[in-house]
Amino acid sequence: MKKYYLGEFEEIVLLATAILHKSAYGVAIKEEIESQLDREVSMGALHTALLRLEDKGYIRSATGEATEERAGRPRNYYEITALGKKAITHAKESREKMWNAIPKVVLELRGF
Amino acid sequence: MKNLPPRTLVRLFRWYCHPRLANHIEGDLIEVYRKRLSKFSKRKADFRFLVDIILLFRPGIIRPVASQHLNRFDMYKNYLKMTLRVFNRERLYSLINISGLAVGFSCCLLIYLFIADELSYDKFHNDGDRIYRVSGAYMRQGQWEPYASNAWKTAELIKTNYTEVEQLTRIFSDNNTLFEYGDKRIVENSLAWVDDNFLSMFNFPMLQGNPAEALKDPNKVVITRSTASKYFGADDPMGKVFKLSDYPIELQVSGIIEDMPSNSHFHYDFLISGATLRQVVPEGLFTNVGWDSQFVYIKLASDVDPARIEATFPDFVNTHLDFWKSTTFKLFLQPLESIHLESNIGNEIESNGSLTRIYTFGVIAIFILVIACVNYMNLTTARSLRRAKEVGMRKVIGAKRGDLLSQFLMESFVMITVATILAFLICFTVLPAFNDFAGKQIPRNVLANPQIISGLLISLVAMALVTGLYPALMLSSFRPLNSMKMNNGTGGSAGLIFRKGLVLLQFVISIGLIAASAIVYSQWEFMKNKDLGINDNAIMAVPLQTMDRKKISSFTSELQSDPSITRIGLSNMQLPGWIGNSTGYRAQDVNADDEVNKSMKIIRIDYDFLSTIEAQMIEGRNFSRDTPADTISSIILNEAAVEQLKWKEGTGKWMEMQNRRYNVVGVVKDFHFESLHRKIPPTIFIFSPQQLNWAYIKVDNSKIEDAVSHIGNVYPKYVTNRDFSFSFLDEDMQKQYAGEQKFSQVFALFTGLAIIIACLGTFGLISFSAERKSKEIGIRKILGASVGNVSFLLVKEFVMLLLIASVVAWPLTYYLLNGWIQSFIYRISIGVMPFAIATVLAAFIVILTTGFRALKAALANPVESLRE
Repeated sequence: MKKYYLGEFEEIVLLATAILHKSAYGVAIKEEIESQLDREVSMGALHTALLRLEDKGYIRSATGEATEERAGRPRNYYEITALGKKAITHAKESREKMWNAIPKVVLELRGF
Repeated sequence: MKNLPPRTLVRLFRWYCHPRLANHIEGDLIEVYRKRLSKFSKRKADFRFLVDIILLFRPGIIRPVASQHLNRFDMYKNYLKMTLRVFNRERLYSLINISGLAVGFSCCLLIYLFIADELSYDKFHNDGDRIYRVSGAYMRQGQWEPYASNAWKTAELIKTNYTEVEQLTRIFSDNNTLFEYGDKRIVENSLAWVDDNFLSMFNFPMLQGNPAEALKDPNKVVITRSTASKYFGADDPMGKVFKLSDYPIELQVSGIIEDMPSNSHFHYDFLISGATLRQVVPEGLFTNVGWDSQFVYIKLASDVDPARIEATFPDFVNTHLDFWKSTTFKLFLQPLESIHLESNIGNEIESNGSLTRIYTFGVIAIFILVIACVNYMNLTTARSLRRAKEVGMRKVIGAKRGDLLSQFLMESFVMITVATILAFLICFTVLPAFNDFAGKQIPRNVLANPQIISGLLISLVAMALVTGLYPALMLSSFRPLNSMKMNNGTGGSAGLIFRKGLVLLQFVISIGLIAASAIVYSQWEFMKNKDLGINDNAIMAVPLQTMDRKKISSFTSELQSDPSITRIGLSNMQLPGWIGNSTGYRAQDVNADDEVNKSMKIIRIDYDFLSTIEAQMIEGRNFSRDTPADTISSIILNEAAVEQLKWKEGTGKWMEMQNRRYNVVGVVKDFHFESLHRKIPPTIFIFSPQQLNWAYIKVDNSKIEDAVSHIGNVYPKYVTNRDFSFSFLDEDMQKQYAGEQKFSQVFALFTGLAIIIACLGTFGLISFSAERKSKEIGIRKILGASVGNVSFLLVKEFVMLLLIASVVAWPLTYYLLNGWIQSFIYRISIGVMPFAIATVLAAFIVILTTGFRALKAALANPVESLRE
């Protein structure tokens, strides 16, 4: 079986990139994650993750337009690749497989 | 739209961020920053921005340290190859360069060894920092005259009155004592009578015997290892007995110590137990605080401040020291470890070193190093201009400035390493000669000392960086296009000025050193040749040693029977020498109260002493055999004495000493009995035939050999247990200035070396500039310039620099040397001569070194130089 190396945070970034589809760039991804998951994302962590994902071939990037709100700096847009899609699918499937294996009893939450 | 984050932070980010990422990450940052601005205050947004930037500082985002990861080994191999090729192609320059450096380094290394040895004196004693010598000073003519020695009784009193003194030991230096063992009879000159705790105070490792017991009882002696083998060979020396027939006493060997190390301020071969002293010295001296004979060393308890002890000395003198009062006598402490370098007072055990000398040599070492380094920088820079094409080529092919820097630094590193190795070998070879010359015993294995090796390595690296950096920076700054077109040449006017400045510095140092050695030399010459007021030519000085003093007159008359001997005079002291005896006095027409703290020196002589040395009487008469009263109550004064008494003339007046009245029968013109380091003291000459120790024998200059053999035959009849020895007075006079002589020789030697190094550099530079200007010279010659014109063109530049250097060097040298010369009582005035000599000599040397090369360039056929 082929292996996909995907850290927890990397997976989240990859998912956010996929959600944003064509409009995924640094700040957008950051805000997407922050709003979906209610957690702070530092620029450092985000960009390291993006670089790593690109190295692994799960996303690709393209330089976009420069806008006034960024004081003339260009945007770098990210797009999920086919390999990236396989990776999140694999991640999802392996999770589901394990979810399904959990006995029902365990998941009965008491006290709620 | 404004609202940008703080610029410095953005710049910081740009500085560390990988260039590929910087732009868009910065965009993200700014966007976020602006969004935050709309929500928070500016301060908070700024702070968050800072946090972002700090969190972005992580691998992957920061700029890689080296942009390329190449294997540079081949490049280094290439650099090394280039170094060797350049060396080979320009052998003359390279040899000049390396030999200059090597000579400079070896000078410095030798001077370092010398200074290190001087500084190491007396550092080997345990608790040496707590040991002090108690020295004394007498008030004479309104000044304190310090002496290293003190009285036996004074030491005893210090021991009982100061609880702070942990240990006290006395050393009574002695010489000229006959030791007999079996058939060996040797006159020993390095012996001392010491207290029993000598070996526990000082750290001289014992090979045999018990350090605590060895010197306790009378008639014991501890000897050094080499003395033991001198007398006893391979036998066990312990318990052997020496006979000292002079006293007579016997001494039993009770211990063996290692020979005292050369860096101790005293060296003794025999340590005789102090209790033995009672058998040879009159009992009265042990209770007399005037018996100034012992070197007294104390070890203070660890928390005692020596200044506090010294402060109590005046009271101690007043209460305990009998006739001494704190106005006439004082005690002071000298730290043991400083004695060798800082103490130069009366009655030193051995002649000591001097701090001035250390400083002088240190400065000279630095000067030589500077000259050698400047040479290297100048030559390398000048020479490297010829490599402009190489630099251009390398740059075109892709070398960056850093690569070129490392190439040229490596070259200088290789050169300096070779020079250092050479310097090391030079030092190793000349060390024994240097030891002879400097009076040192520095062993060769010091050079293998890790401290020296590591120091050498560190200075090697530092030197390579300092001297290599300028040429490397200059070379690597060439623009490829210019250097290929060959219209380079100077390396910029700034570079030219810099290099001229370096040459100027060399000239300043060289001229200063020449002038300084001229001054040092002429001071020494002055002392050697000064009119002493006597005629020391063809006078033999013969010590009477153990001769029966009652037989002196038959000794002298037997000597005078030989025609080679013209006159014999005797005195109680060796001339030249320090006059130890002095006395207080009362005198006619002189208020006794004025003279309380004054004294005069005493020299004891016979009828013929003054006439033998040809001292001149300026009034009255010499002692005469025709005047019986001269044997009892006549004295002769010198001019200084008459002046001190403020008499108009001395003859016929009286003086009283120790309650005896003497009549002044004559006044002798001042002459130098002591060395020129001391002012001629007021002196009284007393006729006392029983106390004479030295015979001065004036011989016929053409029959010196006859005289020596005659005296050699007569002497053993009167002295049986000592060998006949003699010296010539004029030579003894010169020997007093051996220190100055050595100083001036060493100075001249290093000056010479410094000049040679500077010459090498100047020669290298003129060669270069002749080569560079070869086309200009060619054209000038075609247009009609004479050989003289062209040579002058090349030499002019250096002569100008030399003149400027003179102007700088003169006042500097005057200022520095004037201080030194002021320390002499009889001295030359510096004058203009040394400076004129220095400049003329330097000019001569410069013109000589540059002239040849300039002439060669000027004589070259213009066709040759223009055809290229």
